[in-house]
Amino acid sequence: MTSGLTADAGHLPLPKGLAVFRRILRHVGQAELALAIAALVVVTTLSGAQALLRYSVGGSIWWAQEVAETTIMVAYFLGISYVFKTRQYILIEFVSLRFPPSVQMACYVFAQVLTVLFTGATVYLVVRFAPSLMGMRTPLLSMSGLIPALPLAVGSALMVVTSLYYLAFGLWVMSRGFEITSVAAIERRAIVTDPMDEVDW
Amino acid sequence: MISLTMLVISVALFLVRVPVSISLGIATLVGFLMIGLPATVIPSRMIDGVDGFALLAVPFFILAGNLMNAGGVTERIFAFARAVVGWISGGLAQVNIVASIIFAGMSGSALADLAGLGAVEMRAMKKNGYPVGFSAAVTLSSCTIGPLIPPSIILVIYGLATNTSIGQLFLGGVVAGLVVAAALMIFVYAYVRISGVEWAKPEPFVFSKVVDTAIHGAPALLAPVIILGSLVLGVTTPSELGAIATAYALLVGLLYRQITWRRLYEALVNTVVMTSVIMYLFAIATAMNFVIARERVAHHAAELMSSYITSPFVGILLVNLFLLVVGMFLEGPVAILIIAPILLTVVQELGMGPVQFGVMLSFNLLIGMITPPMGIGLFVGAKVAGTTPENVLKASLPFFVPLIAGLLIISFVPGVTTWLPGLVFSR
Amino acid sequence: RTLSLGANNNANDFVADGFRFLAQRINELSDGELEVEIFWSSQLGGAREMVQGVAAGAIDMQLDVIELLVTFEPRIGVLSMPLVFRDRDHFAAFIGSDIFGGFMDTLQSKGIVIPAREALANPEVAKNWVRPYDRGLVSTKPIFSPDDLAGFKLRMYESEIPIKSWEALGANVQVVPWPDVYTSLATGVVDGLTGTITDNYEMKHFENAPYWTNVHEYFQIMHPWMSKMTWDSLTDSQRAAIDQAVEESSYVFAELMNQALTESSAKAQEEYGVSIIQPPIGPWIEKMKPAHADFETRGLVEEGLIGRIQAID
Ligand code: NA
Ligand code: NA
Repeated sequence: MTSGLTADAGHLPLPKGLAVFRRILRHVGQAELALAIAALVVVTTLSGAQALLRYSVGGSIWWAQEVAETTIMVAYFLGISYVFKTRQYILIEFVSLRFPPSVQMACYVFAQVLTVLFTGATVYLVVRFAPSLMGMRTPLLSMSGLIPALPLAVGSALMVVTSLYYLAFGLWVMSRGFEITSVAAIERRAIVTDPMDEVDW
Repeated sequence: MISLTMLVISVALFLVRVPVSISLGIATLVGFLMIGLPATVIPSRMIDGVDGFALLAVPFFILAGNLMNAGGVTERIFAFARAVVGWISGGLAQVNIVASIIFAGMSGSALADLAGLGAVEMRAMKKNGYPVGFSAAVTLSSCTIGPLIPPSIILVIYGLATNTSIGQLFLGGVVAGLVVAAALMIFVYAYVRISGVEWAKPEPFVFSKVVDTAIHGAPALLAPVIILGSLVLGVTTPSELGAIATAYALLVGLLYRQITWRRLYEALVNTVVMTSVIMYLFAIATAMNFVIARERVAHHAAELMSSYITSPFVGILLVNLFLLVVGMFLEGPVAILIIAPILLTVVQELGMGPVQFGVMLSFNLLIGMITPPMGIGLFVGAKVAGTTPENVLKASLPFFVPLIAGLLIISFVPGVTTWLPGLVFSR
Repeated sequence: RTLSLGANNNANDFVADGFRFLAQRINELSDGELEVEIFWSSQLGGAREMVQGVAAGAIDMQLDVIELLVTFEPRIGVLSMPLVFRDRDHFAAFIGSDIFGGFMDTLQSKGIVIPAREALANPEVAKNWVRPYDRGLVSTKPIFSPDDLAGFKLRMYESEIPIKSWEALGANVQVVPWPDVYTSLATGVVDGLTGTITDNYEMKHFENAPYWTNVHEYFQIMHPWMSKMTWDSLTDSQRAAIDQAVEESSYVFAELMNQALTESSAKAQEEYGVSIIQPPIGPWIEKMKPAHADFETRGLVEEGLIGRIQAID
């Protein structure tokens, strides 16, 4: 949950490199969201059809379950990558809001570093585990075990890139010695895509 | 020991504003390194954690709730509740609670109640002169009914974590939800009567209004009947129920001609965001849980409990107390994944069954959702009410009396949770 | 050194003492060098997920039904194909054959070792591990022949071969998770499921579905398997200790399983009045034959595999 915004945020002009970086990420974010929504719609329709079939003819599509389970991974893991672009993840601000602004800024940078670390580790571990995954078959359609792992790998890789952008932004703000009144406002300036107002945590 | 280290790392990182999911992830990485397990298992556990047909109920029920809010279902439920119980002392506060009961029959998430129905309720209360804090407090405490009455995301997650029948859990939650609602209504009644506040005016009862709102709201009001009916008559499995609920919510929205492409898109975006946040947390918690299981925390906890506590009464009380604390610090799904199997072993020794425990645990953690420091409900509630979390919390404090009363009834009267499943599922 | 042993069964399960015996014997025979810690009730993940954990080296050992390993060796799917094996002896002979040996080679190349695999050539040991319970059809109405399956909603677990097989037999297959089978039977989402009397008795399924038709669906073999990473890191004497403990425990498992079978069959009839139907099996085999051939042409089963299996005496 991102905290309330303050008015003094909008003044920092982004350097050109960061602005381009952000524009690219914005397009990526739109693609992620579109794919995640598509996956959600497909899965909902498929499962609805399944329930309907069961009700009307008493039968069902035997592969529907596995296709639904695998497809929804796209919604989960590309979805979370989109969430990190719009900063709609859950975080706890009670304590950190009481820190001096410079410490808050350091926390912000630290959080980005850890995000890169964990999501990067996830990608690395999927790659390391890939040979084993390729030796596996899914129970219904006998797909390669790698397929259900792909959304996690791709989503995590995209999260690495997003967090690198936020990290670069944080370092830039610190290096320029801007006066910081609110980290939330700073974050607001950097945000890749504005969340829709209706999306609310 | 390693589990404790993971806990300390997680909390330390939470506190310096690292996203909760990433904090748990880093702690998990450290845990795997400490225990000397190949970390390649982490992604495999993450995927397994969210890869299950029954878990599809989570996005489905979130979507159903969002579609209800987008399609005008919410307003009609509110209007009907207003006509039916607006005349009772407490007026719109009673309406607020009853609307949540009906909304609960189609939505599986407390947040959908809070952000969607809650907005409608608080707007009406504000217009009629109810104080913001009080309105937010009623809305907040009544949204906990949502996941008790089926469908319920939290009960699905519990069912999967402990291998308990989701169908039985759903039926087990029905009476429990009504008990909590009754406790809240009685409390509001007493509160208004005793304090004599003049803003909580009952509205005159007009029978034709009841008929009118019932007719206009019929498609929306039928939803709980359809959902519960499908469950009892066995049309479908609980996860497909989610798809049915979604389709129905969409249909009703079309019928009311309130669903637009824009609103549909917003509902979908909202669902993707809420679902992926929950599922990512859930995936990481599954990996973390592997280390906790390897350390046999469950086993040791159960052993510790059973060696010190012999009275079921004290034991269940202690379990509840422990859960209330846990609920303050962990998200519901994560808490369930990590501690439900542990505590189930403990309470079974005390003679409690898995269905009763599931409902008790879920309601307990729902209370945690509206408790600081990490109560997400407080933040959403404050945002919807247009005030600060501190204000909402202050106004909510008295409402913990009926909530805890409801929790105690669920904990100590097994019939509340076992009567209905027993009635329906055995011949 | 402590080895982790993952179990789907709970600590009060009727075969739990078999697990404990195995753990204890490994400890004794290795002169205390190896300690085995049992993780009951899927604490380390579901049965299928634990298989991955074993292959990845995160879990040292698992003991469950062999057909779970189908994710790493697709040919193992033939084990859960209905009516391939004539009887328990035929199945035990197959377990000791070179065909199954080939399956175990593939598993080893993917990180899963079957300890004491040579002992499986001994029909007595192989048969010890084979579950004595017949898999039949639990149903709400009596079933005698495949013709009775028209419109019959059969619950199946999530696995390709059994689903297609039962569709071939004429049933209307629905995938329902195991904990939800009870309510599904009670509400009529499904009319029945396949399984053993013992398992279904434990889950109270007979309360709503009091018929059990012995169709000899397929045979199941329990056996421990180990992570190759763990296996490679052990000394020769430690491996020998494990091999011997595994072989010895086969007798314990056989005894426990037989005992449970006798008890649960009696109780199922006593408590739920279960009608046990022993139908003529010919029509079932006849109906399944074209499906077997069809599966081979569609590549679901290796070409000629069923024939080679049935040629085993
Ligand atoms: Na609900
Ligand atoms: Na409410």
